[in-house]
Amino acid sequence: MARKILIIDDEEDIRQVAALSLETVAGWEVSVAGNGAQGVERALALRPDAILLDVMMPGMDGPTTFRELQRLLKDAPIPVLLLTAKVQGSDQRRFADLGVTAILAKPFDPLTLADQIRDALGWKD
Amino acid sequence: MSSMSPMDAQALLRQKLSWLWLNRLPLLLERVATIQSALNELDNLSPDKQEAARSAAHNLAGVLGTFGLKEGTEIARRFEAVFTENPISPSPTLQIQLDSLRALIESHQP
Repeated sequence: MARKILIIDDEEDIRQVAALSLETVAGWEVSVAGNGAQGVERALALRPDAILLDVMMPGMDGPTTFRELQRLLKDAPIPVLLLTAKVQGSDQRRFADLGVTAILAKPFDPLTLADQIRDALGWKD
Repeated sequence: MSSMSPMDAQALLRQKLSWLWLNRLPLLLERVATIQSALNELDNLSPDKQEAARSAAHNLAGVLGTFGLKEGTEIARRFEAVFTENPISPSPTLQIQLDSLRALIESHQP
């Protein structure tokens, strides 16, 4: 059965490129959400295998969305990979301290995004 | 896992990305125009226009690199930083940098 991935990002271009990439290269089922609140709602309904979560979003930002996901999914946590352009050491440590599974740099390479996710999650398929 | 070979899947993805780039190109150039409009009024820039320019630059910084335009992302990030400042520090090179960004986007073939 295909893996299910949820992408939460306020930028439509990023959602489209990431979805095309993961569907075409890996054959995963991709769902998208354009903001944190919608992302939490979709995560609860879909229970994806992993979530790609943008850090900088208006309203509910990535860290706030992550904490809400942790609170609501504490019995069956879903791995969350943060997408961020903030690649400085202090930012990376701050995000890692949140407890996310991995931090992926933006801009990402659509040709290798699925491999980056597989590596981060230890998936062999 | 996709039933295609990895090479076929990557070729197909490149095709789809080319199509998506052409589809999104007018919107990307619109964002450059938003930055241009703010640059034109740098001496008397309203907070709304400054935020629109910062947001346009932020979007371009995020998306251009995913289409292989890393240099475009770097230039857009500089504009995002410029329009985040308050007050803005005008620089004589801003127009040249924006012209470069526009030319990069217009000539890009993913």
